[in-house]
Amino acid sequence: MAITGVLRPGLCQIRVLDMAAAKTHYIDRVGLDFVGEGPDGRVYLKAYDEFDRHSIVLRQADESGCDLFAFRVARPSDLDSFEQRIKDYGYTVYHVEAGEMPGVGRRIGTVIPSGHRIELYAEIEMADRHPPITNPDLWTDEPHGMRPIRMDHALLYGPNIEEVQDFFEKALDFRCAEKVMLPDGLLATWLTCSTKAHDIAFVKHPEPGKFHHVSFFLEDWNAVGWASDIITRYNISRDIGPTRHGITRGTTIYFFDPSGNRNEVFAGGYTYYPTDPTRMWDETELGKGIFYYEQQLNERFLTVVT
Amino acid sequence: MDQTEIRTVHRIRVPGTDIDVPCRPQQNVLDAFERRGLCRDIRIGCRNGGCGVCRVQVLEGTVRADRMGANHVTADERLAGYALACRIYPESDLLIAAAPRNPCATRARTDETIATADRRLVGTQTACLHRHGPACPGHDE
Ligand code: FES
Ligand SMILES: [Fe+2]
Repeated sequence: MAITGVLRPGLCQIRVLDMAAAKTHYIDRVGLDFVGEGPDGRVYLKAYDEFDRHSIVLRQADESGCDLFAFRVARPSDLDSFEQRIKDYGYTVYHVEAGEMPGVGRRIGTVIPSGHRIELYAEIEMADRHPPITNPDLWTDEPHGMRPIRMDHALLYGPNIEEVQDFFEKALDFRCAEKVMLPDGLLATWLTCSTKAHDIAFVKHPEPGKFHHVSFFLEDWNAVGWASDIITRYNISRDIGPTRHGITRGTTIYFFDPSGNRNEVFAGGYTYYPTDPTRMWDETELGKGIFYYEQQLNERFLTVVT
Repeated sequence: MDQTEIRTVHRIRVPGTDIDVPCRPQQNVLDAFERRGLCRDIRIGCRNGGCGVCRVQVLEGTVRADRMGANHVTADERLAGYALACRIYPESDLLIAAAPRNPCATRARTDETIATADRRLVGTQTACLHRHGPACPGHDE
């Protein structure tokens, strides 16, 4: 199946308590490129291998967390068809006008029952310093910090995730690549709109609208090691890793930004095709599913969110 | 920092326990606990003022505070001594108590997950460590 409709994650707007500290973290340590600062003070960043103008948006606020997560769709007309399908599913659609973020076209959005703002957009300017196109070198400016290739996915925490999964499948054509089923129902779901093992994931949690992590894709396991060196060198608050997930199989390390928002950098993971079955974990081996080497459930990883 | 600053060490105590943790003026309270391996009374989360799991009440003493999430400690609560342990630095000896907000809503799910999902694990805490009465809604589930 060609990839149509919803293509991939594109924008993640993160609330930070201290913008200066956040810029040092995301630019100098994680290694995103600074794109610009908007008139309202929001700061726009991108990874070196992304063509689009920006992917991470930082907003100064008095509490941490994630404002919104947005996916890019293939064509402007897709916004109209998805608007209809979201309404047919029974959710309210809100509109964000073009230019609300610099360089980004109009967006549509809805608040899903886990309490998160999910948005779609079709148009965004190409970055000034985009990856090379003709006789392309590996990069325009050499990667720095943890050398992230792209903003890859987010994991969100909230209630009603069975319905959230159903909505993503029925209204947005996502598929469930992997899930965790406990005796009392769905604990977690990894959803994909592409051939990645996940483009977004949800974990059941009593408090709505919570943010577990945003993740950046790295080249390989050596790059995860390099990121780990940076985390220790700069006393970045580490959560867990370097390790590997059983679920999605990514090699990974987790850490916190200076406002307590969790970040992941990872490499690998399997390729998912729409004809593949949904992989499933149950209560007997969940520790291995979450951290394949530790094989233990980790309380902080499972419960600490912003 | 001058020589006196380097040598100054404040003591942090928790009522009802024998905890007595040294903490330098430029060290946050949570870090002092984490380095001593004393994580049962105050949970270690993001260490950066965002997640709220290290919420405490300062009962005695004075602290210097960094920015912390307003959803975890309101302005009124700050006046009453509430704070996030990872965002406060002692200016004197301190008496503090763990003061998690909504202690069991989050905790209950973890307890349940951990208890049902993997009983083999050593060191996994299955009991709620927060101080709360039997009316805690999370535990009725
Ligand atoms: S550990 Fe997260 S707010 Fe202190
Ligand atoms: Fe992830």
